[in-house]
Amino acid sequence: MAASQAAAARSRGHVPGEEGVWVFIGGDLVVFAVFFITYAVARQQELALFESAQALLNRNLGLLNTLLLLTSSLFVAQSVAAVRRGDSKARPLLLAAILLGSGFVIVKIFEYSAKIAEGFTLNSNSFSIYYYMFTGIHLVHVLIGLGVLCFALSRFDRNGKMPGGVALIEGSGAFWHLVDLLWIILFALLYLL
Amino acid sequence: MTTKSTTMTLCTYMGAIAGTMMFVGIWPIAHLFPPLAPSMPVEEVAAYYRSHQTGILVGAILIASSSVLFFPFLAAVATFMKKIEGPISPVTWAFVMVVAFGFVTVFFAGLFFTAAAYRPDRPDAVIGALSDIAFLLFVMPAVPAFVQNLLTGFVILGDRRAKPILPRWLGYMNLWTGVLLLPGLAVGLFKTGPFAWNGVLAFWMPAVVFGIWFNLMIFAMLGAIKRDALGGE
Repeated sequence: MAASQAAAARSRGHVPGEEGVWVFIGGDLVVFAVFFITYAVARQQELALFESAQALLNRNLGLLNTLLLLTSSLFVAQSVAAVRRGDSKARPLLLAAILLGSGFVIVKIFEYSAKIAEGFTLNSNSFSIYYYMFTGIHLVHVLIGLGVLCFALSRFDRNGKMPGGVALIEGSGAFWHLVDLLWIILFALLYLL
Repeated sequence: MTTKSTTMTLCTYMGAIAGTMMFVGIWPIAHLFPPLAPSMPVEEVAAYYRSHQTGILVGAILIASSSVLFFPFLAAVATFMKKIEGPISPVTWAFVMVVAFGFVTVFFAGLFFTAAAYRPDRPDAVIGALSDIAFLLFVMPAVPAFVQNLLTGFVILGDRRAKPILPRWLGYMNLWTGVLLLPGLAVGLFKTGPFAWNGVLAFWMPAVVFGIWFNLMIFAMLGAIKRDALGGE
């Protein structure tokens, strides 16, 4: 009965998490849209320089990070579904998502140090400014997201359930998907295009 | 309306007055908004201060005075935060300390603009250095502003009342503003491009977002005062 009511609420247009989270997510999307437009304009102005500098990036590490975040997002989505069902698998699923997200941070550290060792630093050229600042600001988002997921992880009770925690896990999940989405666009813009 | 809510309303409006004073001072009077390009040669910077001397000196008075008027507004924010946190209020105290040094930089920016314009016969390099300090004081305090917004958002979202003192969307708005102001912290690394102190991402975006945040804070606080959120208990 409760499940069918919840399903009915969803079909009426359920907003995941509390509405306020979407103020933050919407705002963040606007900001990153400004970032991407700025980058596109700068790239057009110095096309040759951007193309040669982009060729130096390690696409394999970028791809590895994309896979880590995508898989992590999948686990978060599974965990959200499990919390909704009241399934105790939610906690291990969320833990797996956090570990994969931490993997992203570790890969990023290796990537940065390799680039710096090659002499490709913050002010090397116009591209390097965008590369370090955009991926750096995104990394801050990843760290905030991991913090949020860890907070959600701490809310499970002894039986691995989160009574009344659907809004919390949905909100955290929505933010984590935002982090993932932004990375996919960044990866395409900086590494592939 | 009680006396207390009248005081709170006045303090809140003081923020709008301070913001307007600072903006009028730096923009139409001093002509230092948008900021001079960090890549501008020092001779041109000095020439700019010499040719706009009176405007900069008058504008700097408004900028320095506005710094003081921000504090009644911030005190009103702290009053709301204290009400939400209750008797044990470490985050409110942290907020009070952070804004105390975060907003005093506006006063110092005014002083350094004055010093840069004060003696036009000074060597170009000296005027240029004073101007750099003034602009850095204006843009780099993104860090205390970031922490201030984080603390405000944290307290608003931590409100467990059925009817929160301040609306929860304002809490998220504060977190968002805080994250956005952050690129300002890196301005020392760049002289051109989007993250320089006149760049799209380190200056324009934070400036616009700060304006939106400021107006929404005032709007939400006036609403909370009107429904007497501070009364009771």
